[in-house]
Amino acid sequence: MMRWLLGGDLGPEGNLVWTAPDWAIIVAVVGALLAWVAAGAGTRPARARAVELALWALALLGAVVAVGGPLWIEEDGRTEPGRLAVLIDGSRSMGIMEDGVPRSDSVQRILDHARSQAEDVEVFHFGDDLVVGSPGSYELPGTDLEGALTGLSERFAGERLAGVVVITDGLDRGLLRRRFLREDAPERPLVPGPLTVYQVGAVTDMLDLSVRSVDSGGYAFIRAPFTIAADIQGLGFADRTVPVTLLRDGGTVTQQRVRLDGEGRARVTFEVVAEDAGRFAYAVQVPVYEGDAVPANNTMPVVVRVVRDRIRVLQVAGTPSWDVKFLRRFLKGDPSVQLVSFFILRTQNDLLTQYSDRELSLIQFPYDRLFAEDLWSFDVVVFQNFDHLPYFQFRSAQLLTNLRQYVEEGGAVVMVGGDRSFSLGRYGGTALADALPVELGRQASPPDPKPFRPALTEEGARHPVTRLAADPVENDAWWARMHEMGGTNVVQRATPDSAVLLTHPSRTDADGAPLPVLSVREVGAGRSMALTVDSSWRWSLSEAAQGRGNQAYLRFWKNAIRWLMKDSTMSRVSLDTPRENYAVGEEVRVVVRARDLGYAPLSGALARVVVDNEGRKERYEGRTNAEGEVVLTVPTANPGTHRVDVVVTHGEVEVGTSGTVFAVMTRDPEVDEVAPDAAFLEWLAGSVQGAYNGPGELGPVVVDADAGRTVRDRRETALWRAPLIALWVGLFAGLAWIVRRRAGLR
Amino acid sequence: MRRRDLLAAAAAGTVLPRRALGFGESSRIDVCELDLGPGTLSRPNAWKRLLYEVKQTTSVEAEARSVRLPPDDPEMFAHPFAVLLGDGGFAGVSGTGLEQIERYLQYGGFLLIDDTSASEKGPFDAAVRRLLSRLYPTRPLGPLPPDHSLYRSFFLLKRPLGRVDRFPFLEGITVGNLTPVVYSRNDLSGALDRGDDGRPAFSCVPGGERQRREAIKLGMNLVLYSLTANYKKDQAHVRQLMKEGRLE
Repeated sequence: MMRWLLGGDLGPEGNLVWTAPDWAIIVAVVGALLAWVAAGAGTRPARARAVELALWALALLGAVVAVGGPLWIEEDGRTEPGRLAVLIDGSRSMGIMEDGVPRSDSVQRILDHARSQAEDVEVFHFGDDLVVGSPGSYELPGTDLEGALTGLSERFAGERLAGVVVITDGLDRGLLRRRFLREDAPERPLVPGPLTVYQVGAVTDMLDLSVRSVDSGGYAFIRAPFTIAADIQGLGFADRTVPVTLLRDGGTVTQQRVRLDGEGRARVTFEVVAEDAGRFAYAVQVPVYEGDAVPANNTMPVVVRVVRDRIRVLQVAGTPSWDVKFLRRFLKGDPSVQLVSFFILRTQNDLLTQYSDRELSLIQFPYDRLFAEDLWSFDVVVFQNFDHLPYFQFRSAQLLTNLRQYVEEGGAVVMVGGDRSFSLGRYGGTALADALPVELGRQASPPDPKPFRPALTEEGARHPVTRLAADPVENDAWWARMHEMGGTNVVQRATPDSAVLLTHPSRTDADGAPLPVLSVREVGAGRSMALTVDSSWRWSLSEAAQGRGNQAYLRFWKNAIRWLMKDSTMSRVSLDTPRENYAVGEEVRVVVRARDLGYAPLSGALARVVVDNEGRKERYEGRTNAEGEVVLTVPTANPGTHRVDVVVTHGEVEVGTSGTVFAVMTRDPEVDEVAPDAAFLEWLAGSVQGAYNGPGELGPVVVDADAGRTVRDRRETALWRAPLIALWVGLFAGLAWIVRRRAGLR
Repeated sequence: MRRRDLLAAAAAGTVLPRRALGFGESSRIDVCELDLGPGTLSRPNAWKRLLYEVKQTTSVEAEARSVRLPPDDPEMFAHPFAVLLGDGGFAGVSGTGLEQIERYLQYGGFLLIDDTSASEKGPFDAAVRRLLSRLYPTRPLGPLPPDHSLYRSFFLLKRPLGRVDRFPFLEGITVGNLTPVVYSRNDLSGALDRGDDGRPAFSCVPGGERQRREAIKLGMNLVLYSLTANYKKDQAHVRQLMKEGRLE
């Protein structure tokens, strides 16, 4: 009955706590006093008044107590036996195969043994963090034993564990083992109980040949030797000779046989020459012999960015002229250009009868070597007012075919005007003419010698070659004030697939369109440019006469060379990643940029990206934004080379393609080392007076019999909702009301 | 190099009527004589002869003419080959004129200075040195080395002869690997100059016509040098000339 009235059992050791806030209690007290004073009003006998007020006081007291939220709290404590914590290494190194079975196979046996040693066993596994329970698989990418012990201490703060069992191969990647390896007296870890270490894995007869590291320096220069150095390690391969292969794009580049030293280590260096610019995926590989513990560490890729040290330009001029001089001056002054010039200083028309050969400094024009052998070593070939027939003679057809092939395969050719150029140079109908951005007649078309100022076309206003200033209005102004040209070659028309950037202001071509003066074209993998004037030098010296320097000339030709070189910033579709090499798990931002024919940002274009990770293809799509850009995020779940290709389309039209490559390192720190570290584990156990058990040993778990923990109980009884209080208030309020009515009041 | 090799370089082919088809005047080489007033001279026939020889002997498209311009005339920028010749002290160049010559040389123009007095310490020489010290305050005028490109820009030359053979070297101001100003003190234009009758205006001493011939070759080399700069220092040329024993 009493228990019901009080709302529960109230022990004698408890404490009364008022749970309501102070202001609520004050409000309740003031309200009760006001009610009590109000109840005293009215005329009635003094005795009845006194009795009624006393009863009201008791009722209101009960109400105030209820509002105060009284709580009866009783606390109690009891001691339980200490627990045994088992930490299991869940990292990938535990999956290393030994005698055909993974190292982790022995974990269950040790765990069963530990459970037999203590009543209350809690199991955890760890990689870089501590996690409750046994590992489902052994694939965690790190091992931080000290972090796990710290996590354990925090989890059982204030409790002395009966014991801590660690099951591991000792290949700790955290600070603890690093201290052990580097310091004479390493700091010992904090362990919340006696430590017992069980080592899994043994060194005996283990084989593992691996590529530990590859160093390429990150980038190299085209046609300049660079080195790729690799560290090879072979467990079980001491004093043995193994082949090491350098691969590029999956194919063998070269192979060396290296002898590993007594500790099974060797360094191998490959000297490589890249013939092209771009990103190239190399890999250093050692064979996977039978019984190799970790085949995954036998290959390591690395992507090398090959850049041009200098652009090789061949300038061939039919006669020295101011135009030739200024172009040479520009090219020679550009430190990124390696220029080879050949100027025809004398023709068959020139009289030299009064001078002997030995008086002359002329050399023979090595046209055959240049255009049959060395052509492909140049990045850009400039024919500046050069007529081929007098020099190439019967080899003309072949050498001009070579030039066309050179362009189609990725080279670049420029033809600059003059009285030996275009149809005046008898290029009409030749193979080279097929690669030019203008069509030429077979018959020589007379040039137009009248001075004129070229007009910038709509395409020219946006094209990178003719973009002298970033601001379009300023760019138009630059071209509008440029010096007049002293005549032009006359071509039939621009080819349909070319872009005409400058035109003659009044002359028209064979179709009635403005006569092209500057045109560019993409031919196969290469590019060509036709400038039909021979006085672009006036954009230098005449601009200087006006006090404007020679920036217009320099920018024009610099733009032209960069565009011809397919500088990535000048291609219509570009694809890039911020870096060449990534680690597994990192996200790669693939940035695709698209421009229209006039090089304006192309929005709404569809970019289809294929990422090919050694046969595993993933496809991504996105549409370019107003800046002509789309960013795709590519996860890197697998190691190896990732080749990225993009095709950008706008409507039904293909805008262009681009590609790049990046590498995701196979280097996995968890399998860098495979031999268990017994010395570390012995030290670890010894440093905290624990016990070490070697592979296969199941010694007793060290247990602290006095360890235990106090379990505290807390019981709360809410008195404010006890029936007693409601009855109290109701009883005395009711009696007060009866007394009041009998006294004649309401 | 044998004659037939040279002919191979200039091999027979279609002979085009080039001059008739040539572009406007701006594509042809001519000479701008700087007019700095009293003390400076004009010898248009010398340059006509030089340009004629250039046109006949080399592949260069030349217009056998000269214009005479004051240094503050922007028209000089249309003629990248300029000459300054004289025999007396000339007045200092005005600020605008000096600034324009400086820009002209900085952006690709070439200036040949010829002391027609051929004297050791004449007034022209002093005025030239004053002018050049204002144009290039940090770059002194100095002798050009015997292996300078202008001694091999077309002919292989060992000595810079003019009307006289007094100074065994040319002087110049070199910026980087280019020499935009060349100074001859042997009266080169005197060796080139002709009268209206077509005969040489002056005798060459002491070498006579043989010396004139060398002076013409030097003149042609200077034109070729202004067009090709250090082209003849390119490795391909040097190697080949050394291989053939024409260059030591």
